[in-house]
Amino acid sequence: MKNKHIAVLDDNKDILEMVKTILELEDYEVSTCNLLEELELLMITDKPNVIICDMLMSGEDGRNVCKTFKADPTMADVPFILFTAHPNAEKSCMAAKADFFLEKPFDITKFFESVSQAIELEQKLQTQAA
Amino acid sequence: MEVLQPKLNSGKTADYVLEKDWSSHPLGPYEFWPTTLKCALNIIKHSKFPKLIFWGVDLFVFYNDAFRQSIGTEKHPATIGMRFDDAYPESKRRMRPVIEKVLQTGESSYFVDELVPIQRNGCISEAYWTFSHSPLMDEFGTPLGIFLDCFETTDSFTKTSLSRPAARDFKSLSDSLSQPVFATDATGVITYANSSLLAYTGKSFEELQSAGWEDIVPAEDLENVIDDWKDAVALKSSYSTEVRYKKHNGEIRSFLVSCIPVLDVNGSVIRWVGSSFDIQSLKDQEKEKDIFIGMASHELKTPVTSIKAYVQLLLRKYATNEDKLLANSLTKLDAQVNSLTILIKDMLDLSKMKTGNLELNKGQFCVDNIIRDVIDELALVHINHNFNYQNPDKSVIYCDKDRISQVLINLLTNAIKYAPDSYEISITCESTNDTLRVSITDKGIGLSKSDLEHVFERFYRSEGKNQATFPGFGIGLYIAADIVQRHNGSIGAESTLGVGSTFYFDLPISNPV
Repeated sequence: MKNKHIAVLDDNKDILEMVKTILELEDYEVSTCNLLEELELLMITDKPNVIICDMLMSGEDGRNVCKTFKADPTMADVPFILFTAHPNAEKSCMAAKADFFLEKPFDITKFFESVSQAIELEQKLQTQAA
Repeated sequence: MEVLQPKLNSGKTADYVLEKDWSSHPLGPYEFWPTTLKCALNIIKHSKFPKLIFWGVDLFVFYNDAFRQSIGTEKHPATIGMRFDDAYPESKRRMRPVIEKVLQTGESSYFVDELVPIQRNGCISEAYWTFSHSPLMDEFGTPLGIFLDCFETTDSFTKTSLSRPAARDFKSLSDSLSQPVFATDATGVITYANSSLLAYTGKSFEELQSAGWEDIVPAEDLENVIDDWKDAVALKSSYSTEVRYKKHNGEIRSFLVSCIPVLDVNGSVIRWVGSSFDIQSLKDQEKEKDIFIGMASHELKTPVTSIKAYVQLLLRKYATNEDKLLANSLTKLDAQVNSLTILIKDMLDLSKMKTGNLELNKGQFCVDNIIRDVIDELALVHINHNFNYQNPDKSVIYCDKDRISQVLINLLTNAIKYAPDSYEISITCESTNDTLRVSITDKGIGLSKSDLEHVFERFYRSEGKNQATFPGFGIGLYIAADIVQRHNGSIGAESTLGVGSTFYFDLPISNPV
């Protein structure tokens, strides 16, 4: 079976590298995007199973990205995890239709939990669609 | 001003009264006027002293030639027979209460060198008068109107008071200040404004005096300002408050205004003197500082996120490694990263508390679960400590679970920090009908009485010989106290030096039995 594919969007390259490293150790296939355009292209060329996205990026609000994706039927079925160093953002992230929320810095056990829950959710959404 | 030597022929104003067509006036034609009024008009007609009559409940205005000199062409002859309120709107605020009192009590008024502004020669001028109101009664003693003897003293008063060296010095002194300074009469009418206040508002003294505070204070703040003022008037006490002033260019800036009452020999307030200190830049700086702290904590958290993840990743791999140094170091590193995260969070919370932006996400939570979670979490890091949880309580509290956890963590880490030689910490619950108390007791160094009083203040750290060994911002307890207060609870501490301390907080129970 093909490894699950996870896309990460963050304006901070160190965070991208870190997330990629820990996810790859758990045998996920990881695509990192430094710009929204890269993620948008990826959604067409190699649609991921889960998206992990930073909330506050320079020039981009992850909540708006999430809202736009969730409003598009071709992308709404990809579970969306928003994570941020901004405190007390859970409410607004959930309001933006994010499936999961993580506060930075996070515990990696918690992080892996959210990712595997997102994978489960994706499978459920796929079955429903089929 | 030559008030003392009227040049006009006496009786001219009275002739005007006779010649005027009164048929459409509420008083009706002259021949039907009450005898008392006609007599009174005759009495004032020839007097060389300025006199007025305010007749009836409407206070219809009549005056003699001697008074005509004080009012100029704007009010003569237009104000003859007019209602007082319409004829003298600029003086109404000062005079109306005096008139009411004379009508009610039948007792005459007497004022010396009193400021009553008057509209003349195209502007409202600051005029001083010595005057007396006396009731005009019928034969049964019923007041029908008011007699007013009023003598303008503006020239002599200003010569004797404001020209005095002390008064001149006061003016020079206040004009030299960059802070707006003002004086008002007992009723709050502005009687003096220094050049800074005039420059700030971009208005002339006359404009400020006629429009009053409405021209300086934004409309939405007026009510609060008036309330503060009323309190101070009732207490005759000085007061200090934050007031926003409108600048001439539309900008609104905050000032710290201090006012003191000037009392006469009888203890009555004769005027208020106030100064204003521009605190807008302080407020702006405070705001900038909070924005900076917000950004700094966000930026600090980003590298911490990476460090934490890598450390945990290494821990996963090497926690059971034979190399004990590696495993131990990683565990220590993880704990230190957690401490750093808490410090960053505290720093942000603090700035939010000050600005009142700390949000609570309240829900119904069983306090027992919160306590157990916190103990489990801390026990992982402080492996040598024994957390003795007594008398668990299942009460449900309407609270922000994360914030109450934070209170517990702050109190517990405080207990751990200040009890370095003891590993016994007990957590006890007690509930009454409607309140739950959670107490945390340590066997640490304890606190002196003076320390106890300040322990919940910001940046307060117990001063002792070991102080240097207790790191932290000194804000953990301050934050805990703030959170508990936001839950309508209370926080407290008891302690004996060298024996230990008990910190406790009380929270209201959601559905009391």
